[in-house]
Amino acid sequence: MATVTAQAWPFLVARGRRAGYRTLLMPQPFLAEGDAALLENNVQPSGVPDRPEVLNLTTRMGRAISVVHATHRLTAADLGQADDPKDEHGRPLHLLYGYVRPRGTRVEPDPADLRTARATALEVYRRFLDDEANFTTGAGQPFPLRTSLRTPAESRPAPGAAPRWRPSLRVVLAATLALLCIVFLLFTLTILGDTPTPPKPECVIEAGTTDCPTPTPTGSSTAQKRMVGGTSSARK
Amino acid sequence: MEIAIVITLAAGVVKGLAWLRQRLRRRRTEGGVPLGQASIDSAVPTFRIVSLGLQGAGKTLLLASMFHELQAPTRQSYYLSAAPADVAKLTEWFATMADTTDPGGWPAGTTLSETRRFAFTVKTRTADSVHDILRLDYLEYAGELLTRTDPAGAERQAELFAQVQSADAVLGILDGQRIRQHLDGEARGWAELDRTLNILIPHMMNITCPISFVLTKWDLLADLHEDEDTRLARVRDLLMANDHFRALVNTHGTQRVVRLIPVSAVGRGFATIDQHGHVVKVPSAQAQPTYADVPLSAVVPDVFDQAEMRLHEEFTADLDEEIRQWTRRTPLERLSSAATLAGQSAGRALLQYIGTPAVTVMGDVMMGMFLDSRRRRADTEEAQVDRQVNQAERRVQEFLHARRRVLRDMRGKPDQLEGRLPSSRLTAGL
Ligand SMILES: Nc1nc2c(ncn2[C@@H]2O[C@H](COP(=O)(O)OP(=O)(O)OP(=O)(O)O)[C@@H](O)[C@H]2O)c(=O)[nH]1
Ligand SMILES: [Mg+2]
Repeated sequence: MATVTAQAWPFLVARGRRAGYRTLLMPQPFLAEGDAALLENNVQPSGVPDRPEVLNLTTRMGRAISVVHATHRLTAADLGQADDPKDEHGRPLHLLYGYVRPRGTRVEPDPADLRTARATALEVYRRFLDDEANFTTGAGQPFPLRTSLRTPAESRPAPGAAPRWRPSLRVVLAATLALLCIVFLLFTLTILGDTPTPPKPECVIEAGTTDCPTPTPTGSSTAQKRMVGGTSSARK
Repeated sequence: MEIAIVITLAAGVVKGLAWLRQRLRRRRTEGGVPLGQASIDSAVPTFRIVSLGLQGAGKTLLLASMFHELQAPTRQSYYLSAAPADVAKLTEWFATMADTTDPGGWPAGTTLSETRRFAFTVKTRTADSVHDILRLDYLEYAGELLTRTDPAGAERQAELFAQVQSADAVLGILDGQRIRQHLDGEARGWAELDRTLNILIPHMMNITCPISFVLTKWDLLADLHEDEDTRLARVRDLLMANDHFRALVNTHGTQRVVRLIPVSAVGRGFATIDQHGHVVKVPSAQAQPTYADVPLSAVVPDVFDQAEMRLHEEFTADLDEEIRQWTRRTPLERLSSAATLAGQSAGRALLQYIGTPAVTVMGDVMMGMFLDSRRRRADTEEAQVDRQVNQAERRVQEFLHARRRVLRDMRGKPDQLEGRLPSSRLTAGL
């Protein structure tokens, strides 16, 4: 089974004590391509701390990527402080961190990769907290993934395997034509079949003429007026 | 092989179409929904509400506590219902907020990715049914969007501003903690309040829909004065001293009442401000939101009034059309024509003249029996039709009655608040 060892780029989205959420660490290719909003717009905080979640996205340049992300509530220990850090409104601070890798078929992310990403994210975050106002987004440098990816290439048939049947162009054409004919036929039948045929006994006059006389005011039409009138009076 | 594929495909299509046709037929014949209900359903309007406030102002907690207060018809005839995922989110926020075992455990600030529309349905119950009265589309977003200047937030920001422009009602959210800071002599308090007004006012100046101001974190101002209205009057005077704010209030005040609604998502005594200026929970206190149900009630009836004429016309037209369609589907018109004709002696002659095959071969006795049977059948079917129309009329009346009651209850909330806190009215009156 073909597996490849790929690279991943760490990222970090977080807010500061005063500054709002920003991508503080952006995978280097995103910075180069100007895909600034992709992670911020898509990575959702999770209620379960540090649990990895995988999100498949496509970059502006059309690259298929997987984002492995987790949420970490910052503790006093993370920052070497006495109290748990808070924003100016008294809310706990969270890191939305993780890494971006080329999309492969689904595999369980290796926890070691997430730990690497978190260590990088924390380092960046400490620098950010020191000077929120003047912090500029950093470029996440690639690191080798422990998680091995099975690439979609694997699903290609092995050389020498029995060729799979592929419908010829002729068959596709014939099938489409047949389908069209059937659809047309049935459609016509449906339309014709559904045209309500007047129930003969009820419209006795119909037998010898093309149209029924204008109906005399009936229970329904009086009721109809009554109801609409009722509506308007009710709204007054 | 090729033929087999074509046959299988064709068989599949035939089956599918037959099934579709059967369903269509069944729907057409059964009708499903009782008469009048379709018009009632389409008479339920959706109003778009936007709460405009900077980060940390208290939007998320206001939404959570508002839903908490209105999820059951406890103090009013109506209640809010939402999709299970939305209810789960709102409940989670409220639970995090109310949990005093974690003194700093407030819901985190809203991220860009958490921008979300909550769809609420205002419902009410009558003796044997539940009525949807109106729907509210409420945008929850990160307050920092209002002030972001970098390209990363541009798309969401444009979405938010478009939402404000097309809103049916806007709630201006003013952070009570900033007022507290200002009144405590902290320069930051006024600076932030001024910044808030400078950001909100241009947006609110450009809209014509109903607006209200919501003063959040009211509990943090509890020790300003023992009398609640005096407290509110102090805040009102402070705000009205700002030229821009006053101009905004006066502009909107020419059309309708503009209010300043104090709310607390947690209630008095639940939280306090620590030495770092952070809001912290008081151990074992209980969250009891105050006035959190008022802001919605203050704007929705106004929005409804504004839309009433259009809604009424649409409803009447829908109802007309629904009944017209329905009578066309039933043999009623033909039945009644036949019944009328059969009741007249000329009718019989006419029937013969027209040449209904059965009639032309009938003798006098047979003819009489035939007309009698037609009349009987027509009578019973007509009675059924009448009954259905009467039921529909009752249904419509019940719906209109329920809606009037809900709107009356909604109007009652800001009125009660005003009775208690006259300073909540910012404009003199209309
Ligand atoms: N005492 C008290 N504190 C409140 C109240 N409402 C909000 N707070 C405090 O203000 C903080 C911010 O409230 P949020 O509702 O998260 O603010 P927001 O407007 O949603 O902020 P963003 O998501 O950043 O836009 C909360 O974490 C609480 O500490 C309230 O009614 N009373
Ligand atoms: Mg929020």
